[in-house]
Amino acid sequence: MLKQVLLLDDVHKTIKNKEIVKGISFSINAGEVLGFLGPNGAGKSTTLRMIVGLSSPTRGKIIIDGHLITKDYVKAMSKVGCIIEGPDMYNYLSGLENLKMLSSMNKNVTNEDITKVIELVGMQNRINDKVSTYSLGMKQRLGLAQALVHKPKLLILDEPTNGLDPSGINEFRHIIHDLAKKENIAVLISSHLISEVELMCDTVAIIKSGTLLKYSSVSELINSQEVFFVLSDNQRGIEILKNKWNIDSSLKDDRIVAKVDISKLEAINSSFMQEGLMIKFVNTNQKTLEDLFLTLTEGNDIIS
Amino acid sequence: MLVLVKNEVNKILSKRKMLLITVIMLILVSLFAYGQNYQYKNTLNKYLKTTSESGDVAWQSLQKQQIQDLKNRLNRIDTPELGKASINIQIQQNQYYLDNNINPVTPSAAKFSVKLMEQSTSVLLPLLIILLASDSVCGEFSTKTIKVLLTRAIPRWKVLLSKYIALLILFSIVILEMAVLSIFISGLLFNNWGFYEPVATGFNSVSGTLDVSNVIKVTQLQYLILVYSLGWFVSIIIGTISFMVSVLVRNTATSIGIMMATLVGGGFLRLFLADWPTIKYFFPINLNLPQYLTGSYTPISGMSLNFSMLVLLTWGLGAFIVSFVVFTKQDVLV
Repeated sequence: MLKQVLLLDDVHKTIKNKEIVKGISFSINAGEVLGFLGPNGAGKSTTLRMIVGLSSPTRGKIIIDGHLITKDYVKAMSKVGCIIEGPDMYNYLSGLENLKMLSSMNKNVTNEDITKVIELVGMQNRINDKVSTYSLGMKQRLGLAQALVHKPKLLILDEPTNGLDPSGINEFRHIIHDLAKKENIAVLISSHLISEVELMCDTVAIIKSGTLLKYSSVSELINSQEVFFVLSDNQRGIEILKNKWNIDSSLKDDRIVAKVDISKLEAINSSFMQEGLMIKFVNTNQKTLEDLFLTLTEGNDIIS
Repeated sequence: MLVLVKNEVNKILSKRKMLLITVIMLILVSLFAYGQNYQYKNTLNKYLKTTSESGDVAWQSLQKQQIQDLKNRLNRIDTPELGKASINIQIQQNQYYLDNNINPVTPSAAKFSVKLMEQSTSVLLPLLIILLASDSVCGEFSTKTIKVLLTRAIPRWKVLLSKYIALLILFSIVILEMAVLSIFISGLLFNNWGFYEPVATGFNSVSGTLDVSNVIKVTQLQYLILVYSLGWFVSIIIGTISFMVSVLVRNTATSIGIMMATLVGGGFLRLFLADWPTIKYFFPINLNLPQYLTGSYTPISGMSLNFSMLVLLTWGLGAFIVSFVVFTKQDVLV
């Protein structure tokens, strides 16, 4: 059963007469991991802040587990765990004191929950040390613990792998994967590390200058690739693609360029053969999510 | 809510701010007490040519001599006309003490503690309070921990209220600490506690003469409690105002700076603009509440204990409302 945990509906935010977020809508279901990508200054953080109630949208609705955040703030927030822009904790307290203090602000968190979450993030050896002695990676782990301790339904992570070592990143990926698939938690990850997003996420939302450029599943994004054909009669090839496969294509030099779902490529090729065309050359332009990100966000000006 | 307040008190305590305040108080109280003792011995030397250590010196003759001194000063040509009224009142007050067998001269722990609070309400006490109050909200902003604090399932007003209550508790501790420190240090130094000595309060100066019809005699202990309650009231008001400033500017150093400038500036205002009646509605002018009890204190015409308390209360309420409205509405962008 798919259950919508987070819904953004046409969310706008204006700060000091500048429209930072210009109408973003997306949703996350339980058990889904959404990657939130965008260049610097695209409005990622502003959007995340609105989701966790640190700032309020100028226009639009944000609904968490059925509760409108502006109206039912407490009910909505009790379902959310988050790390926003780095894991900032009380430096003068120990990790355990931090966790205890923060979890005392949520209902029904037992000492057992705290111990469990400390083990989950692998901090049991240093948990009694002051946070000021922690490395960034350890603070990230503590940040994750603080976000998970009250068993949220929605986890919002802003740059969660910053400062983690490779094995830490790997571990983190497993934790997120387990949380999403076993505990059915919806996860929203914002990151610059596109390869990370590619590995961890089911869906991707790419924003630029406060607008949503792309919002689809990772597999769909990676599978629909640019394919080059060089046929004996390129004009007919374009017609066939249009009529038979409903695919728009264009002629570039002596090549046909078309966006094609890789799984259909074989069938397309044999259809060319059936029409009596010779295939001189076929190649896919191997695009990774990173290429896609770069093409989409081309002309990276920080919005003014 | 109780848990939240406990958390906030914990935070302040683990930042060792209270320790700093205790050390400041300890040093100042010791210095003042030592100074007071030194001055008293000097006075004894000057008037009585004795350096008796015991509590029962012939204070009556000392008092008589002081009255004579004041009378001489009144008759000198170079005494300004303006000062004469207050000298007159002082003479009458001293005469009243003499007539009613009240010893205002010999220092005691109770008397010293009262004097300390009377002198600290306008600058020292507010300073300590500002140190505590400014950091409570700003500290969360400068370490960015405000993000974890405001993303728990707790409405913002509750977070702020818990901070405010925690501060009120600590202000009360500061006042208590000040009382305890000054009583013990001065008591040990003077070897004279003097809790049950009588004090006369409720003097009223009307056009250069002292009105003693409303004077009530209380014990030093009662008077001490009264003065420290006024100090407590002042510290809550100052605390609330600097709480508001810290919510508005979100930076510890800036908010301490603003409050200090206001307090010191208030002192200057009273000096330079005493003729301008509007400044009596400005809160730093009204901080000297315990001074009203001595009777001879009217900084600007129209000011009285009730007036000042009302002005302070209005400022405090305003600051309280502003802090809550701003804090619950503002966007957190750290």
